Amino acid sequence: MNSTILRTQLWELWRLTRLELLLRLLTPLAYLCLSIYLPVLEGIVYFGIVLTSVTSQLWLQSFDQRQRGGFPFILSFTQPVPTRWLVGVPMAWLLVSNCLIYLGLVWVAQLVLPSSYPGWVMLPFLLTVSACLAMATWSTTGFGERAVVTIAMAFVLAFCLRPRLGMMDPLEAGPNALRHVMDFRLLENGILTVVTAIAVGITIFFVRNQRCGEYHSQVGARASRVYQSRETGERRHPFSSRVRAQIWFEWRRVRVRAAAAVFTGLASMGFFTWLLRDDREGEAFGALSSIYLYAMLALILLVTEGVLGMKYRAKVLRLSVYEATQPISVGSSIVLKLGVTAGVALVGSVVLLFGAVCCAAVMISIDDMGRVLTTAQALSRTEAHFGIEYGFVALAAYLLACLTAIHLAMGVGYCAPWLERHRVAFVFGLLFLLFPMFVLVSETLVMWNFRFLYDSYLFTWGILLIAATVFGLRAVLKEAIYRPRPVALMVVLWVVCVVLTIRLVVLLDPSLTSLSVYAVVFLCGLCCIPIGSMAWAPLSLAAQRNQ
Amino acid sequence: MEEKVVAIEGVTRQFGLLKALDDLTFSVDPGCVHGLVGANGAGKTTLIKHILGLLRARSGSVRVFGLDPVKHPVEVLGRIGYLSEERDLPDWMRIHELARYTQAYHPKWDNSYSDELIQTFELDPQQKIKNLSRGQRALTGLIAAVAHRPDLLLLDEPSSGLDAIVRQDILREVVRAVADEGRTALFSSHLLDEVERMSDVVTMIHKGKVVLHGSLDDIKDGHQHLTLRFPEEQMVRPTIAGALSLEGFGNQWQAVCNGELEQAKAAIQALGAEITEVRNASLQEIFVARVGRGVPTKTEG
Amino acid sequence: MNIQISLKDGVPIYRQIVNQVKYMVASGQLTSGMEVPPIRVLAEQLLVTPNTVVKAYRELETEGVVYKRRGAGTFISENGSPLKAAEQKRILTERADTLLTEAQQMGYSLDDITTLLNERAAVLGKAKNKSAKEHG
Repeated sequence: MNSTILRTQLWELWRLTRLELLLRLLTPLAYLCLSIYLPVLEGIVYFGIVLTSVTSQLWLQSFDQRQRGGFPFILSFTQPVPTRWLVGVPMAWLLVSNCLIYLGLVWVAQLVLPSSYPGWVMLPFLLTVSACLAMATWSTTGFGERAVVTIAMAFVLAFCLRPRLGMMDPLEAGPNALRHVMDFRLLENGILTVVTAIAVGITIFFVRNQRCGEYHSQVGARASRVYQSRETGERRHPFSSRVRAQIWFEWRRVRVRAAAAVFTGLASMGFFTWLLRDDREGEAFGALSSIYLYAMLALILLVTEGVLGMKYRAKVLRLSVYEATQPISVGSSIVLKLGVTAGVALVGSVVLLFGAVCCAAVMISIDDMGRVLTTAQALSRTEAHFGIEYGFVALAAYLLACLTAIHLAMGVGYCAPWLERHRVAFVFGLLFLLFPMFVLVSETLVMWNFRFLYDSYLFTWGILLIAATVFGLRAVLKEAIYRPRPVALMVVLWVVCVVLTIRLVVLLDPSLTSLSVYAVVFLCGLCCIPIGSMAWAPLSLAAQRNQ
Repeated sequence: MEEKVVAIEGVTRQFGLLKALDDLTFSVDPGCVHGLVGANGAGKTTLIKHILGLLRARSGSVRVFGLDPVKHPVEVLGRIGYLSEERDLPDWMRIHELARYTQAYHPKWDNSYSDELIQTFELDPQQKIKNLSRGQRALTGLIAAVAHRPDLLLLDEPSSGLDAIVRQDILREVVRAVADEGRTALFSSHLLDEVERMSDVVTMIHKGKVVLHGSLDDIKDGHQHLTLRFPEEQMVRPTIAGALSLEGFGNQWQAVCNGELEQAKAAIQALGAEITEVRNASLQEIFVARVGRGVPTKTEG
Repeated sequence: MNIQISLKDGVPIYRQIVNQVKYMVASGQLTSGMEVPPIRVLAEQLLVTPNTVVKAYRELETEGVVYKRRGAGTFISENGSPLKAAEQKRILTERADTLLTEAQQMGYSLDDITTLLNERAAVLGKAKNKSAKEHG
């Protein structure tokens, strides 16, 4: 093996990953800051360390949709080097850097925190996980295949570790609870090493196929032919209206990722139900509800990203020219995108809810079911009414939150090119957002009371949000993005929602009526977010479309 | 139709320090083929983006079919057929799906026309756009742009990177579009012989300004190409007042003049040279003379 | 109709079309009554803007080489003969001018040219007789 080529590869890997390595080393510092304040988070600190050690852009980058092969260094296929070196060097870099980062982070954590963490003993486990994830992403061709194999690999790894995971108690303070879990014996270490070597071998085999131009795996090719034969060549009826055509357009763009998100959510629910089946249903319910929320959030974000229509062209993120030149107005475009996203989210949420209910039903024993029913029967009429009203308002608030989330995601998405171009401003904005965290840390260090800083921070945010909402609504009406009557209707509905929510909140906890001025302004600002985001999304699209 | 299809007045556009358009005034009359020429980075694509509303006019005004394309995207873009330089199309669609989707937005879509074109260009309607070759992609974009018989056909560098056969296909459709009553075509290109064959009106842009504008025949009649023979070899480029540019070596030189033919002839005779040929200049020669790199001996005419 | 467009010499395209149509009429390739292609067809064939063909046809019509029949197309005129003769003379005059200019540049005198023309006429005459005998 030519030493110059080796040197070039190592230099390329260094240049590619140096920023990422730095970030990975710095990320858990945030955890450490928080864990100084909340000792119960110390267990999470360790999870954060493990997660950071395993997450590397070398395999995350393979999810870049433009690459057909999964191996990130396709350009080096033309080098006079055997495939085993081409794959081996980055793989070795990945494994070594992951191990070194893990050891470094554990060392820092042990300096700062009182508890002790497993060090060397974890390395074979880390090597196996890193190698398997790299194998999953580098060996596959096509984005869909890559996603499926990676998720399957993650499930397989979790399955294999289930005896260990079953013994975990994340709520137990400190990683001592984990130590006996993650301490692998010699035989297991041997098995892990062998699995790592097999993963590397499989990767080399598949990358060699990619190098020789065999991009499509047999399975993939056959599957795509079956799928193609289903769609006949007969001319379908033309769309009866532009609205239907646009809905079809947005739906087709996002259907695969929506299905993937819902499927992953259901699979995770099933997996965790089975994992936590033995005892502690309280935990299981908690896990189910948090998986549901995460899956919903992931679904909303994925589908929103799909309908945005932003593309990388010549390394610059911008709205695709095709979309920008369609004869459709900004207002209609946003409304249709919102409609499709909300519709998909609604269907997805019903499916996920159904799945969660099934999983819960599996877990509840008959006694518990009886207990729940008797409690429900014992509710008085007023309490029942209150419960129903509360239920409706909660549902309305949930729907509003979802719509707001979609609007916010669209607004952020269309501002992404601006953020990318003005990174300094973006970083300053982020620092402003994280300002209270700094104050919190300084408070514990300096032992002063910075209450007035919190108050003025909340006040500033409240004023900013209210002003942004007012200006946004004005701009939307001035640019005729939405007509005045629908906007007025939306404002009225929003006012109704806010009033109902305040009424319920006050009923629940009367002490909340005595709040400081600053907190009131901040809450008003928070309440403005749904209506403000409704204006922000189309304005940022208009800014992207007509620069 | 009395009103101009495109009317741009006094538009300036700056990207950082670079002035892409400098107080530019430009118009397109209905029913003609309008060629836009300029070096790379002269401002052609920026101008086209203003017509489509992709860029807002920061100063001056842009009117397409009498409307502002930013404020009325539906009315303006519905009558334009656009083929972008990058051939931007939804990669996940199949060709027949693209036809069906475009039909929903353009009621004048003609299915028989699009079918005929798909067959002529030997495209497979079932194929996904991301699997098409570059030429096939350009032809698919062209079908989506012409099959709804737009009032304005707008092509940005239609021939770039394409082989001769695909280029001919594209030009043929442009001809067909304009031969229909009242329809207009505007295309930008730096293949000057294409522009020379295909244009009724030519606009030449250089560094954001309009350098030349007029009907192709007038432009060519206004520029003469002279072949000169000097008695002795010229070591240094001679100076000829009235000539836009002077190229050559030894005792064979070529000059391009715009309107100052008599003055140039006098200067040439004064230098003792002989004019062996006078003819109309080709568009390529005019372009190079006006915006080329050499140190031209030109008086601003 | 076989028309070639050249962009080299700066001659406007419509003029090239006009000249070549006149040449074809003069040399007998297009006879009176024959239809010339419609504007759009010729424009597609030559890949030139239709307005150029419109201009060319208009000039040919003005000069009487072609005429338009309402709803049926454009046809070569019957009274092509005097034009034919004038056109033929013009073409040959052009060729003669070219020959004489080039000869002068190369240093041939008028007598040399005349001698050359007689030689070539004899050679071509012999070849013609020979082929007539073979096919006769």
